[in-house]
Amino acid sequence: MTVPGRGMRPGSTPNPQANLWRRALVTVARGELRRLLRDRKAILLAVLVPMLSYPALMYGSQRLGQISQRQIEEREVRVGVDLSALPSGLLDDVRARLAQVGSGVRFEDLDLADVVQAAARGPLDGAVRTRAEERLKDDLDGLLVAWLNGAAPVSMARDAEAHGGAVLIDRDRAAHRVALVFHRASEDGLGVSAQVLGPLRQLADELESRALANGLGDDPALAFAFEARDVAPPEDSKGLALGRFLPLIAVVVLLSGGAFAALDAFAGEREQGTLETLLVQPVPTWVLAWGKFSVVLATALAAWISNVASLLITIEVGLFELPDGAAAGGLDAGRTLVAGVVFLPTVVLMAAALCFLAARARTFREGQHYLLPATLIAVALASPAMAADVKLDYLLALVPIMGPSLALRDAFAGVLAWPAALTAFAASLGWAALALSRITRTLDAERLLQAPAPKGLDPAGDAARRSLRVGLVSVAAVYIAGGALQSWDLVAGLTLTLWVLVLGLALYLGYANRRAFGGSLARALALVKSSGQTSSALSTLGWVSAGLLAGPALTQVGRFILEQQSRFLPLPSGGAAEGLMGTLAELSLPALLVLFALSPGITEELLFRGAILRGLAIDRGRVLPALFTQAALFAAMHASIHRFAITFALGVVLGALTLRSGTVFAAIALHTSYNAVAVLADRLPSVDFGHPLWWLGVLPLLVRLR
Amino acid sequence: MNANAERHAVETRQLAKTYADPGKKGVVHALEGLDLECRYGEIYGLLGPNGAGKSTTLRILATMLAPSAGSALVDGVDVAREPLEVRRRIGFLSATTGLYQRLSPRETLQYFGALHGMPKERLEERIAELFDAFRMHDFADRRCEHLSSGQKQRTSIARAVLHDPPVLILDEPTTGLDILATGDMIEFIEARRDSRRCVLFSTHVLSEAERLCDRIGVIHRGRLLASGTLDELRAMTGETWLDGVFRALVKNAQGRAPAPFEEGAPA
Repeated sequence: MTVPGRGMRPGSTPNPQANLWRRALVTVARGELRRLLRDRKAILLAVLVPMLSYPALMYGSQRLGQISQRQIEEREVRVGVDLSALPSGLLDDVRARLAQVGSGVRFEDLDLADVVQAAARGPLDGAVRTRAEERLKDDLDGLLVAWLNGAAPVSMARDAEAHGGAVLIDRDRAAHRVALVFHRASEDGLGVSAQVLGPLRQLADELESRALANGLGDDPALAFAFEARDVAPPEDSKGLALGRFLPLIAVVVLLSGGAFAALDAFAGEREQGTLETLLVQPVPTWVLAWGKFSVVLATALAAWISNVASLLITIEVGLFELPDGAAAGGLDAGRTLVAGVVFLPTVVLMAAALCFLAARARTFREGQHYLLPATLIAVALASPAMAADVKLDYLLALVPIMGPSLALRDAFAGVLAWPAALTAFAASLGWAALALSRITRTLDAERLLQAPAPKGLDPAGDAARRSLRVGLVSVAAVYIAGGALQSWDLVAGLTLTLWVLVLGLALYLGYANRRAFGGSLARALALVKSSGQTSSALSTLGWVSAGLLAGPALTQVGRFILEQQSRFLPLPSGGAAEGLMGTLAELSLPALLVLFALSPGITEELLFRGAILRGLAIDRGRVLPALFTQAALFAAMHASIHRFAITFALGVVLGALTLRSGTVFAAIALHTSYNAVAVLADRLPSVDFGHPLWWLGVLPLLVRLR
Repeated sequence: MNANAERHAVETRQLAKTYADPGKKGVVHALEGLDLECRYGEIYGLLGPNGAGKSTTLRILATMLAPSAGSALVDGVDVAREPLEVRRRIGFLSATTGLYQRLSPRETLQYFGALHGMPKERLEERIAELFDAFRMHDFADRRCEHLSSGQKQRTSIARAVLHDPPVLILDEPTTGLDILATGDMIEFIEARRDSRRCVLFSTHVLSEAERLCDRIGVIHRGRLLASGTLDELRAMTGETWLDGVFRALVKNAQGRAPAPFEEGAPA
């Protein structure tokens, strides 16, 4: 049955080897590509459908926008008018302007004294709102009211504009305020504002300059003429408009386009049972990994190029007009080239990331589950490019995806800062190289062939899975139950949340996990080292003091993170913590420290760095994922997008400290100290916690960590 | 084939493999000092219950896993030092081996032949030979996803012996196959012996081992308890049937009888 073989004698080492590997790599890549291309449905979904959807989507949305705009302008609306407070000269001016308003708006003189009074008393958006809303509930779509506001500084005109009104200054330099009250949420309200505001603002401007002329005794226009003139050539405006959303499209298209190839090449190979066969071929693993990676890269690039081409054609053909009034016209080829080159390492990085992701999955389906979080992270990193005011600087240039995204945007807009752009390029090259240097690991047989132990027989795996589950439950419980408790009574609610809910969850998880830790609750909570050794009281004391001393420096790091983040994610005005401290003014300093520093320090650390991190990190091969997972849970529990980065970083630091010191005490000390600094900074303003000398407090920790 | 008497087709010395598993005792000892010798022109069966270390042994021999200690030679080549050279000399097939769904048998063989660096003409020649030998012409150009399990099995075998390896390693090759396909498989294994190749396979099906093997190694908890022809094992233990032989060996090794050996199920 078997045929004696004549070729491929064992021992005939081919020469030169490099040539052989290159041919093997091409073989792998071609094999992958051939199998990929045979799955027509996937190709259709990954490349063709998104490509064709641009023209359809853009044309459709644009048409819809135009139609609704026209409808708003053509709408018949009624505006109630009470301008009885205006002096006759001014009244005539206003009436003249209103006469210019299109026929769709009908003005009716009414007695709106109640609205006028309310408006005159308070800020425009305060008391007047309730009064006005009552009137708007009738069949009126807008109210135009006026009142005397006393002598006004000229700058008030600007002030009022922000509230949808205008300040009219009469010849006696008394300011009359005219407010247009409308409801933005209703289309009729929008129609009113679109048609009435313009003429009134124009009048306000004219009166303002007239008043200025009176005051200065001359026409200020002669002394100082101001005019805005956009000197940006069309390609700049167009480039900026395009560059702002291209990075976002890029990451989504790259991930979705490359995902199928990556899943097929790694997870699919495992699922089909062909991986074993592949790994016993006389070809080094790196050749296999690179062959697969190159196909993922090629597919991602193909998706990206076809998508961008489709997008650009859609715009060039005029199916879609860019925002910001950027005119259609030729796109600068040089800029497109620079943008492409700047972004290329990021394409490589993302293709590599897809390979890592897909290699972790046992099945195609499991791999698909990993895609959504990955896409969210990539989109989050690319989205700062959407904001034109986020500048590309050296720090942001180092961030993967973010730096190149900003550089891509600036390259299209023609305002590329070369040093920063080169930094972004070099940094992303570095990231890509780092990812590529590890690509061989995607096919690490020792890891891939280890079968998961069945449930129940694997206390470690059970503990890790349970820790993740309890972690997710904790986030939800603290958010819902804790939130409810604290809105009922802040002090009692916070105490209950921390000492009952959080501590209870920690104790439950530690107790449930104890089997994986030789039956020891103390080990499961990281109160003693995982080896079971009790650390000496002196050593624990050392860690605690080191943790306490490092708090102020960590606060400074946190402040730095917030500052950097506020460049593209501004903090809401009136920090939450400041408001909190205000309402707790009656509490004594020790009480505050116990409530806001010591309590969260002990309870949150026992839950996150004690029970959850210990449970997740029990599998030694997964310590780093465990570290980041618990930090993400910790950050999610704080339920604030603004504080996510800072609480995540804090979680990583505290987690690393726990892993390194072996017990949770150092993290308790550092967390307590970090929170205490926030309390003390409010109560003891004389102490400068921002002083660089606080960094000396990190030294004991560094010495111990060494 | 240069089958000199001193060199074994497969030879392991004190082979050990430990997996890190901090959840339990810190590590799991899958293999603890395994000594194995298989000759050319011989079918060697590695017999043992699930979890005994059969797969680990075969995967080390196939260079997929690295040994933690000890050494293993395949066709005289050390698996740890020259894994690629070892891979040129083995064919590997396991129960979980699959095929690329969207490739035909011909394309599958072309793909793996190219990875073996076989010259194109020689490869086509060899593929034609294998299609004859395994009666594969009817479905040579049909996609693997449309093949019957027997056709798939023949494709997998053809793939494993494409480069005519001196050592064929089969990890539970008959698991989950219908009887016809298994018959093909047994015929094929015997044909390999006749052409002076070494076939090393693992199984927990006793009848299979009894029928096919020239020699049998009984493996339990990562150690080789005994090795020899069926007659030698009978003489060693005083038992007639392999079932009894196996139980006697394990009892001897740990001082108590194991659970009855069940055909086709984990013992």
